[in-house]
Amino acid sequence: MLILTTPTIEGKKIVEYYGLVTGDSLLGANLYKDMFSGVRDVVGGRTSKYEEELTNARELAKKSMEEKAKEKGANAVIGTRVAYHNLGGTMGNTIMVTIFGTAVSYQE
Amino acid sequence: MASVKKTLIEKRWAFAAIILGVLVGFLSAYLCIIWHLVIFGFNIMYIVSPLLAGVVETIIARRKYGKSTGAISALLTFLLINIYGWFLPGTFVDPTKEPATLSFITIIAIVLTIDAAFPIFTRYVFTVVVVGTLTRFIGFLVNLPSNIQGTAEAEGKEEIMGPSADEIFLDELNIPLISVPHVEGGKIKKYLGLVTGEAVAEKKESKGRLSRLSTINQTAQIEDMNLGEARKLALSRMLENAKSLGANAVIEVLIDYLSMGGLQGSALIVSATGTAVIVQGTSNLGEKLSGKGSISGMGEKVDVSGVSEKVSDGDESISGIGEKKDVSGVVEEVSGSGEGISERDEQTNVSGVSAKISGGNEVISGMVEETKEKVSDKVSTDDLSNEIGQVLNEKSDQLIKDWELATKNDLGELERYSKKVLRDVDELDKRFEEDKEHTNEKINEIEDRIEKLETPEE
Repeated sequence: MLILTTPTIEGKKIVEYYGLVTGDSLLGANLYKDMFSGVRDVVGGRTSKYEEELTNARELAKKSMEEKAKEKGANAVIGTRVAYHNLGGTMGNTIMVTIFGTAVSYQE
Repeated sequence: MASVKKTLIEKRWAFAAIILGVLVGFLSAYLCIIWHLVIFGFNIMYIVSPLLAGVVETIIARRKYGKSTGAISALLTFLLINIYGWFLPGTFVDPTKEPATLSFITIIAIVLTIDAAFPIFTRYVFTVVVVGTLTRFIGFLVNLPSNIQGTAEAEGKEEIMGPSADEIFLDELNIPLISVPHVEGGKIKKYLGLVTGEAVAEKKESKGRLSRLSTINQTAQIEDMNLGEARKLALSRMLENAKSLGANAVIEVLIDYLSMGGLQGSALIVSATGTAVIVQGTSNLGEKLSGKGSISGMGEKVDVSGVSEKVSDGDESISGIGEKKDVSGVVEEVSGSGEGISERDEQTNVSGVSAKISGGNEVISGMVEETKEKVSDKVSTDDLSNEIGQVLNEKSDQLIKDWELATKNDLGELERYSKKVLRDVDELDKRFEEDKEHTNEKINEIEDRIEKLETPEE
């Protein structure tokens, strides 16, 4: 499955458009994690926990989008965008990762 | 009037819910008082009644009105019961009642009642104020020694950083980053897919909490966040991703920022996304290697202009010293390898570079012959020139190796090596400038001696 951010595939012909496909996942770091990340900050480490969680969430979203595209019979997703949204909460660390693109199938 | 009546009819269940809630609240409070439901001297009506009122109101409102009315009755009950309990002596409901007094138990009860009435406010206090104060305090303790010892030193170090960090960083990239979907003049051979990278930018905590305490009510400055660092991290994570896929360029690079941390609000997520591709025959990317363009489209200042010119400059000064054979030999070798470059890697369009090199070399060899004539007439400075030749051989061998390496590897490698070569040549330049003076002195000395030797013969 080819996932691209570009609107076209150079040198290939897009034979069919299947429409929008999306995938999203939520990332909620809990209070304890937050507290410890705060302590780590102070001690000098980076908040790698958040970054790991972000990567996981993004991969999850990507996977679900890929599945949807596959179901439609596409072999590529073009014009893909990755967006991160803050869903708020008192600690503000509920983050939604969405990936959306256009499912297409292309030929050589 | 008609519209008011209409809204009243529409909202009748909302009002009914509020009134019923208040009634239930007062009923429960009344029962609590007459049954003496007291725990440690504190009547449970303060907690139970507002909660009951809120629950009844919400249930009725949901069922009949369709949506929540916001627990107005709970707030009303809470206020009235507290006024009654704290300030009014028991006159009409319970004649024996005294106004409540402050004690440990009542303070906890007050906290609980406040939590029941204003949940968001207490959540804020507990999660943000308390946790924040705790982490600040721990951090203060941890950083205390360094704060006392030398914050001035650290600040001094930051001053001499030179150009901002990500410019250098982008210079050293061997995969070009392009923010448009199209590399003009080149053909995208293969698409490799989405690449992403994220990083969290936080408020810098290292500056010393003592100084931060005094600036607590200032607005945030851009320097307070380690944005540049986080951007660099996000980009390099994306590049790692692209490299592992075997890409030689990343197109449509987008950088996005998202605030996180809610009420605490001191962190940003920086994300970079792009499409990893293999680009073929990019005359634009190639040109930039031969020294015409800047390194990438992201606002570079430094360009590699005139690598070969520098080479020829360096060689000029070399030939000026009185190099006889070595230079021309080297020159041939270099131009040979240059031809090799163009033969081997026609796809990558390094031919521009090699042409430039060989062009430069022609100039050099011309210069060399000129100087050869001049020098050979004069005194023999063989030892010295041998020495110089050796140094030159070493350096140019390195140079040739570098070029060969570069052609074998991808364009990015070449880019890096060309910069290294540039540096080497500069070094050579400097060295030979020094040597030149030295040689001139020696030559003068020898000339003087010969004159002395010659005069007695005559």
